[in-house]
Amino acid sequence: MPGLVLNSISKRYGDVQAVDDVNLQIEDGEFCVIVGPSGSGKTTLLNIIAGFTKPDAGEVTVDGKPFTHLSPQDRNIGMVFQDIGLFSHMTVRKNISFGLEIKKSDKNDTDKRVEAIADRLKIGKLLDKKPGLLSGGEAQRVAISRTLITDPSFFLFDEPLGNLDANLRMEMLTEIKRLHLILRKTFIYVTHDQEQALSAANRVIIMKDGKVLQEGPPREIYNNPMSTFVAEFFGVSPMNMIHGTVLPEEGGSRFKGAGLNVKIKGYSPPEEAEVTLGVRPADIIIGGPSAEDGTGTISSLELLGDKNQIYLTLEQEKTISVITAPKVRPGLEKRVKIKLKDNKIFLFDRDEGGRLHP
Amino acid sequence: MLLPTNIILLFLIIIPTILVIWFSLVNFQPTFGMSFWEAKFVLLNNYLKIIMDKEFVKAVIRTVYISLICLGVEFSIGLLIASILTGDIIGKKILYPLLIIPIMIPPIVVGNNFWLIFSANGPINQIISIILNTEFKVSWFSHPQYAKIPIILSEIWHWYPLTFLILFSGLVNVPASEVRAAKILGATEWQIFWRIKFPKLKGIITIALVIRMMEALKVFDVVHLLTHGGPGTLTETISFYLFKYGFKYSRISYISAGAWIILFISLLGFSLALRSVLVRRNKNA
Repeated sequence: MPGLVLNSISKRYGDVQAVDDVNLQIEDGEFCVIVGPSGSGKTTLLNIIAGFTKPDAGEVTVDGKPFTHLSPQDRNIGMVFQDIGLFSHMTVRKNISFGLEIKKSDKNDTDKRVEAIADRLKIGKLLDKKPGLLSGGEAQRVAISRTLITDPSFFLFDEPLGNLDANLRMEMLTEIKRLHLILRKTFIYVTHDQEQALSAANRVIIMKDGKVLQEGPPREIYNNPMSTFVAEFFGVSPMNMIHGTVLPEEGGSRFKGAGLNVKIKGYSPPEEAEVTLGVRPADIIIGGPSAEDGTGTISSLELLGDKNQIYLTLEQEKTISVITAPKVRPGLEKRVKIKLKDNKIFLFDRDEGGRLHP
Repeated sequence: MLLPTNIILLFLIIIPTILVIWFSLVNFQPTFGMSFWEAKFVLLNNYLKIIMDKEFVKAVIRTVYISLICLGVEFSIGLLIASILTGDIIGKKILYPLLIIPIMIPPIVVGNNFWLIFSANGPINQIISIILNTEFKVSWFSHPQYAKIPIILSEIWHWYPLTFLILFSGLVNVPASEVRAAKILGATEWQIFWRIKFPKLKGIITIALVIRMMEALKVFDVVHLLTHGGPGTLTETISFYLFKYGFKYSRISYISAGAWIILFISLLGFSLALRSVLVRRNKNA
């Protein structure tokens, strides 16, 4: 049974179409990450779910009940913001208990719940401090604790870790994932950092210019990008994109561009066409007996320990990145032959960006 | 170069202050025909005399009374308008300058306008006549009970923009993220105001009240223009009392002592009020 449903949601700010006819179903207990570059409408969408922004068109329902007309106060949502927004004049304890105190709950019960939540998020020692004395990570823990106390039906995270440094970010992300495992509630998490999306989500929703470009489990999006944008944007190492032409031939077709000459199996275009070839850095093999797809010059080499990151310059000054096992270490400025893994080659339409193959 | 500033300060503040201290300790009246340095030293005699003067004590109590009423009403109006204007309302940009016009009008204009409004044949009496449907003709400025009303109303009208401006700037600076966080936790607008905004405004409220109280305690112009302290001495404020004794009866020493007493009481009150703000600041840091 679908939990949260967004039905044809649109929102316009002046000339900017912030959210453009978005349809989504987010099931109970999902960890759903909305990812996209800044200005893609992901925060607007989150604010529409939270009730801070009224959509121009479309409706939000939760378990079939209309939600759109409710004010944020009545939605029973937990939300964590990038700018945290701890109540600076209250102690941490008061911050956490705020959600219960305004509902005039029993004092003893409130105290017990505050202690329990503080223990769970390891901030028991901070309870009597004012927010001004907390570090970024501690403040974010308090902000999360504060949302837990009212036992909301789902949680929204608006770039919650944007202000933290890299190490702390991973630590807090692990914490949030752990929380999701314990609570089994719906988490909707907005970020522009696709690395976070990849590691945390059950489902990723990729947005651009107010539209949902693709959604699905992170693995699937990684292995099966539907457009050049998704292919380049999603994944720790972005896909290499090489412009060229594809020519029909016996048993498939042949791609030519930037000095590459690659046999494409299973794709037979009716005629010659301008395309973009996409291939992940890890799906390019350097050297070996069958390396006859093209030749490139090693322009830079980064030894990362568990892998090597190599930049190859092809013809027409096109540079692609290749990830190899640590033992593959060709010398700089050396010309090498490469092979693209047959079943890992994507072809995209040059103008529209849509996927042609596979 | 601080020298020119220091010279100006010397003439404007330090020398007059020393003179007023001297005046308050001697028995000096320009009408005696002697210079002030020849006047007889009487120690605290002037202070004792003015404290024993019932008219002075009444003027002090009356001034505090008028000030507190003005302060309370101005604060409420200021806070109300400020809260309304921080919300999403249409015509904000027009309302904002309109609402602060009174503070920019010179006191003499305010006084004259209120004198016209409250005069025997003025609009106030006419409006009340229409509402009551009988002839209503009170001479406001010479009525023993009502004479304070035009003074208080003109003060409120003239000065509410000050509290409004200060409170508005305070409200605008309440972080939007905290308000959003409170909303999503289920707080009503009322709760957000009293639990989030108001506690953050405490300091600025104290400062607004202190600034306004300082002004209110000095109220002189409207009294002078509207009632002249009358009927009898029933609307005399501290400033008006000191003005009357000093410049009509030439009792310079007497009013100097009075001025020092007022200054001392004000300093004590205001420093206590402000200390609570400063202590709170330090705790938060």
